[in-house]
Amino acid sequence: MTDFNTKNPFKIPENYFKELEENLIENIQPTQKEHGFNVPKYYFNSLEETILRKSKKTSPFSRRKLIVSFTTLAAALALLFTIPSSQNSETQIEEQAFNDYLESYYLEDMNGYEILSMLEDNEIDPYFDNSTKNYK
Amino acid sequence: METQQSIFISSLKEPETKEKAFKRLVQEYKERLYWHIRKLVLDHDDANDVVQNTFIKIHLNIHKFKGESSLYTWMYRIATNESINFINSKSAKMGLQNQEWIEAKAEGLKADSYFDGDEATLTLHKLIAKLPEKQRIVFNMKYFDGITYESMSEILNTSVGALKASYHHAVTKIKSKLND
Repeated sequence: MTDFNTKNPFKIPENYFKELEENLIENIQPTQKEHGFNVPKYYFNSLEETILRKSKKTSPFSRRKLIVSFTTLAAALALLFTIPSSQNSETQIEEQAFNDYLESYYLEDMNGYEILSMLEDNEIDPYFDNSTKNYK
Repeated sequence: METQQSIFISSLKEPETKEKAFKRLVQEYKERLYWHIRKLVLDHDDANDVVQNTFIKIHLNIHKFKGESSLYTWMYRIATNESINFINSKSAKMGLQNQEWIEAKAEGLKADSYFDGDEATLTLHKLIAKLPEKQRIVFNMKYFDGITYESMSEILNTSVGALKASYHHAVTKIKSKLND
């Protein structure tokens, strides 16, 4: 029996299958009317990257972690600022009330000498030194 | 037997395979969802914001997808709702009605560097912008994208009959304006 050449004798145009695929895809798209809109060049490539990057940041796990972190940070900041400031403001109010009381009721009828006599020696010296420096 | 879609949805829900499957989802649907959104919000930058939010919502809520509709219609529904919410929010910030905001956007298309439609297309967009919201959405989906009433019914949660009526009213209004 004669041996036949088993090599495929048929040929196709160059890039035929690539073009076939493109043509088929084009033809099975639903009939779309011209809408006139366009997008920046390479937009869809960058869009994909942006979405994937954002989705990683906003995954439920990282969101939960983020919420916990924010809550912890907010609580720490609240403690840091509110407690000392409330203590400060309380101290300030107390001092102000005491000063008001002294000025209004206690020191009102005293002269300079009487007030000075109420102070301890170590409290007087610095004031005295400062006040006399200018006269040297 | 599991269908190809249900296998894909399972891979979107599984933590080990989610990222890879989501990447495939974005590759597959980014353009279709973008163009759907773009025709609703008209401006490229706005469409870019909305399409990103849409995919983030899909990513965050995929575990809630029950497979009662196709994944495609579920995503279209999210994209449509995101577009409507975006328009509501933007128009409210500017103290405008939704339709006034859209009409202003359509008026600005001529100067938009990402719009290269001819005069007829520009006129058509301006007339579409004058339609009530539901008719505008239905007209865009049917006229430009050729989406079937059945798919639209799932996406918009509206009966086929009501959608046909909406499209008919929209076409009648546009034709009558074009004849004026």
